[in-house]
Amino acid sequence: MIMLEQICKTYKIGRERKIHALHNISETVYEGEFVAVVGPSGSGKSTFLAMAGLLERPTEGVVRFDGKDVTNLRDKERTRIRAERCGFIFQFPSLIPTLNTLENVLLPKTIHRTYQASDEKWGKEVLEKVGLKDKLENLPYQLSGGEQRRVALARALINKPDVILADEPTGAVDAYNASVIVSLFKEWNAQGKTVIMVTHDMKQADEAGRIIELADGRLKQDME
Amino acid sequence: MKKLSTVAWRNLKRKMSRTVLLAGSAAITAFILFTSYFFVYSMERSIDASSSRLGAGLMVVPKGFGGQAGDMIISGTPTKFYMPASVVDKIRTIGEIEVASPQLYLETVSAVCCQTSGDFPVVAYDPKTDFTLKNWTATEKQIGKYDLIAGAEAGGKNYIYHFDNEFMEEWVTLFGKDFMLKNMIFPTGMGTDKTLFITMDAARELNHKENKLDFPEGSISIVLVKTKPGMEEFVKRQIERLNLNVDVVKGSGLQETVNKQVFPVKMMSYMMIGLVLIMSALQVMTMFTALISERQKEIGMLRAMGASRMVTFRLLLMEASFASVIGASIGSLAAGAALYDNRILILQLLQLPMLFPDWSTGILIGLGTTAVTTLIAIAAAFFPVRSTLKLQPYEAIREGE
Repeated sequence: MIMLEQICKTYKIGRERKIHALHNISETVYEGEFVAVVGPSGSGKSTFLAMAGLLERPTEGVVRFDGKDVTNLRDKERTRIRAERCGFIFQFPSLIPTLNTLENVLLPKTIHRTYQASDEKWGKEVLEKVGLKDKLENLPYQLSGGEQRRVALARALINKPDVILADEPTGAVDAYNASVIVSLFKEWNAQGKTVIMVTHDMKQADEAGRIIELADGRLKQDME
Repeated sequence: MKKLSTVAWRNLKRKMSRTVLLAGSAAITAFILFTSYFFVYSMERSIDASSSRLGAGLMVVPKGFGGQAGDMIISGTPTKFYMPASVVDKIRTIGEIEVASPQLYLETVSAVCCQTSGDFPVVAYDPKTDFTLKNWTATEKQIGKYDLIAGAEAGGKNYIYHFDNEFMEEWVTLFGKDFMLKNMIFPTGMGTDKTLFITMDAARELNHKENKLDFPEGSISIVLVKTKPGMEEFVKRQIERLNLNVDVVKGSGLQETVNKQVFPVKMMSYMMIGLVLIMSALQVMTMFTALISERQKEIGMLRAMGASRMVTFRLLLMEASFASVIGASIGSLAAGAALYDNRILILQLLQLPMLFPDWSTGILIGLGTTAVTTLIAIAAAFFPVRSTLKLQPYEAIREGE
């Protein structure tokens, strides 16, 4: 489904300094897989996820999505693929404080200009799945950190994506909420969705079907 | 939540202090813009009016008095000179003349006008053909035979403050007859500011020695002529060819005087408008640069969730425009209300020839000011927003952390 071919990513810091976040990475994530990307801080996990989710262009190499080279696609096309095929969960929930739970979940529909009346029903269903059906009208400040994280999960599902990309989704979350989140990933994966989860917690990574380990921007190992 | 505008509106409500700052800056900009343009417009209008009165037209006076005609109008110096009223009819035969209106300089009288005693030049005019005073009068009231129009300063420095008061009713005794003060003339910076104007019919009726009024029967002092555009020189020659024993004076010299008088204020207003626009743009740009940098992570996240560059652009510019529209409307309204409510006081303080625009023009100026202020805010917000949207979504998220 997503193929990274000899990907290098270099960030420039100032005029002189360069950081090589990824070195010659080649990996393929197949449809319906649950992949965990692990490694220490600064190993390039988040950059790997950004490449796979078309959030960033590589300095070198090719990214293919469903076999199509998307590396140099126009921004409009890459945005369309992200909106229609991908669901993102970040380290931070980033909910809009003045929108209630349901409105935050429906935000991707609004900003992608695809909002329909039936979306509200689907938004409520998704919120029910993450255990927040009683908090539709709550504003983010009225929710706990774990609940906010679950709203972000529901938001990632609103466009019925084929692939879910999560960047340390259990960071700063208590053990109970962390296990709820990972269980939800497993449940969605069982329904046929591809899940790519970045984590530094090996216990959570063990729940995935495959683990990609990175170190210093290079592939250390790829374990089934 | 179907609309992007709802998200923009809620974002504005999210940080009220930031929104109030943005709207406040727009309000101040609109206030200054409105006020500056209002003054410039008022002065332009007054110059137009004076050109229809003096500049574009011609003044016809008895032979030998050509040099004094301008002085009389600018300084208010009473000068007695007369010619037969038939001159007007003869002049009117020239096809290139639009209007010809006679005036008769009577006397400088010591009188009490609006509880203020003083010496006032009295001039008789013809309300039917007048095209000079009507552009300057404070109201649109019908003038009867014994009604009086007074210059802005004729009733003392303070009377014009109260002229809007419908209960005010002033009577002035002139040549043994009581005249009702029906209208006032806005300050022109010229002799008319101290002059009392009565109708030609009343002057002729009161022309008896016992009334201390004595001018030759059937005479006039001056004919003010409005020609078709660009025909002043031609009409001047035509009048001279009629051999009416008159001098014909072009009014352009007087218009230049008025122009010179208001030029510094006009320039200052234009400069102020320019500076305010630049300052406002820089202010919005600074605020938006800070705002965008503060929200970079959020912008990256929105882009990741499927917001195209254009949608994100629209969302952020919508926020700028909403805050600016609100602020600019408040600023324009406040400026309009303050100026209209204190217009007589302003005229007294500035002592400049100004004709304030009517309400509908004032509303148009307000709408224009609001639109310009909003456009400036959008244009100023454009640059910081555009530079952020050049980033890839992940870059924006990283830089915002």
